[in-house]
Amino acid sequence: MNDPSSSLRLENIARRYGRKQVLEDVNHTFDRGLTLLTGPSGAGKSTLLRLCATAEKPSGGALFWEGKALPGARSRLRRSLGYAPQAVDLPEDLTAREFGLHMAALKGLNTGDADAQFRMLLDALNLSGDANGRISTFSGGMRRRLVFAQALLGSPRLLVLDEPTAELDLESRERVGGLISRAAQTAVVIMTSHLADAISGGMAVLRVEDGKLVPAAGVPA
Amino acid sequence: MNLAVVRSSLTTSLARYGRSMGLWILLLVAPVGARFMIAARGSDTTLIAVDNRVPWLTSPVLGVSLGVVIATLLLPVAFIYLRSNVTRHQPWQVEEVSPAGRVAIAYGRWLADIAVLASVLAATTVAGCLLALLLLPLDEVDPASIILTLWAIAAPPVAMVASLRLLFDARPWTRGPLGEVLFFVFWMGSLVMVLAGGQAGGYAANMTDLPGFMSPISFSQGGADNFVIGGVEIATNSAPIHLDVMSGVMADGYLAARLTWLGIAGLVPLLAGLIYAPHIAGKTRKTAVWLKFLEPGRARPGDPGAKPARTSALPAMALIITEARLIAGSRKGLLAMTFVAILGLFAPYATVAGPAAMLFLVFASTAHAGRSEQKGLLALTTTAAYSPTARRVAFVLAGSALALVMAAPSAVRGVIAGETHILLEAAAVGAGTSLTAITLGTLTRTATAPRLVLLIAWYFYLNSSGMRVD
Repeated sequence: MNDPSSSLRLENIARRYGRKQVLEDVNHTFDRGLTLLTGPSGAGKSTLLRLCATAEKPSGGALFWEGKALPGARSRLRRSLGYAPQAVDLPEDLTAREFGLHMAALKGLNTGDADAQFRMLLDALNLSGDANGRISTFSGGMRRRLVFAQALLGSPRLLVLDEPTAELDLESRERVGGLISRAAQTAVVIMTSHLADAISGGMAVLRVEDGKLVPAAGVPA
Repeated sequence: MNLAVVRSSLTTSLARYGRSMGLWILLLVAPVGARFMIAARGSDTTLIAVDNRVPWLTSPVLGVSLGVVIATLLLPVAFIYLRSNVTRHQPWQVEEVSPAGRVAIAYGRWLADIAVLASVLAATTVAGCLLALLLLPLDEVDPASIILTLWAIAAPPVAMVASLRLLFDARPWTRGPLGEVLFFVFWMGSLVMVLAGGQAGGYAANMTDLPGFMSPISFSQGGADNFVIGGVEIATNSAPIHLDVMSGVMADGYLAARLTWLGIAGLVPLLAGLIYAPHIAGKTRKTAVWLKFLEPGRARPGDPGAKPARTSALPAMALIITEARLIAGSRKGLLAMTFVAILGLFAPYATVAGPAAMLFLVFASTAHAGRSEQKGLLALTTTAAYSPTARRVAFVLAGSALALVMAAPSAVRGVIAGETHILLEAAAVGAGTSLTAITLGTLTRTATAPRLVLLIAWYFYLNSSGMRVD
């Protein structure tokens, strides 16, 4: 029996786009700690993450955050959420810091605290020198780290990360991996990554296959 | 010019247009709107009044009425559509390093834009013919004259809109807000030119009349040059005016001038292709040394021991303040706001400081509305504690607050002089501007539509201000 605090439970989740069934009868409880989703491209990993982050609604089934069912508990989940989608149209003419403060305000965070935390996160991700640089001047890797940094703002109890280490060099992957490992000590972290080598510590590994969530071969889920 | 490139560019653009909802909405707007543009016989309100009388409805008059509305009032809509639709995103990263000629690509896209706008004209023509069937005796329904008058008036300016869209996409500076400002100037200029050169007939005078309505209205038999376009209420019992607009359409030099304008529109893509300047990935604007103080400067290093941010005690207020900061922009924006506020200490609010404040808000609010409503960013912000709808409300409140801040010195001056309306006016202008910006930004996901609409609103505000005193 799982402790309902800080857990995300999926019950018979299905997602369909038109006639295409992407996810079907997905059942799982994500507890505190890191869960890595694997599977071939197009298997439905990102769809599952969008459902977990409430960016999309399931076609069937139910989600429960901390024991409470969505959509009733959606705002409660969103107040606890840090989300880094795979593709974001970043506001090119803002600086990294302005973008961070924008996201902090949308999360309902104290602006002064958020500014200090965001600068600390940018330092940790080797972006401190670019905090006041316009996003239009950022490389793909810098954008990825910026999106990851905003996901960590506040103290999210649910962290949903879609390929946070893509486009990153080895050093950046290690920095991101270190922050993910640390976050996983206190939060439910669900992520997809083809480059999970930089992440230390234990993790559950699940495979999305034919619209179902199954334990990865050889790895206990 | 490589015809295969033209064809590929044309068919790709058409396919993208065909898959967008916007096209179908646009195709509905003109025909549905047409019903409200036509004054039936015996009506005492009309869109076009000649000599303060309602034109007697005939098939050619119906065509002229629809043509005039498209050539004047609907041109900004067409420009907004072309600049905000699905084809605004082009794969320039690969296109600009391909061997395909820019002129060929430009002509392919221009032809696609022309096809889209021509389909709007065609839909309006069909609507006009149906209206004629409903409003006129059957023996007076003449589709040929509706088609001739409508297309003779509307086709050249509509083609020019497609050409300008392409021209403004060709240079880095005009790909942004300056493009919208230039279109606004062009549109207003084309209307002013009509009045400047319209008092004489002939080819040269008709060349100053891009909207093309002067000759069909003023030089038709029974016509007059004192006419009004827009919603007009006519004195009850005034006799209708009988216009033989076909005589104006066939007047010396009119059709030749219309064809010349079409020819000019057809040459603009050539110019756009020739002057095309590539995009610069990750572009940085170089700031002059003496303006460096307006840049954000180097960021302070973070405190490694910084704690996770706590929840705000006043989260809604924090959201409004953040929106205000993002609308106002960087130090440049704050400097502009300060300048406008100081202006209010010396210049009248109604004619100078108020319009200056609104102009600042037009550019600042539309820029933020466009950036915050991008689909790819909404995928992220939708999952935040405050929904996009809450942010939009905060946006409007923030815009109103900025207008009030800029009006404060004028208001103080006004109170001393016994005037109390300035803050109310500023709040109304701020709320109206930001509400329009975020609504159109949400609908179109760009800054183009709200910016152009608000520039037109600003122009009316500026002119109405001249008739008032503080």
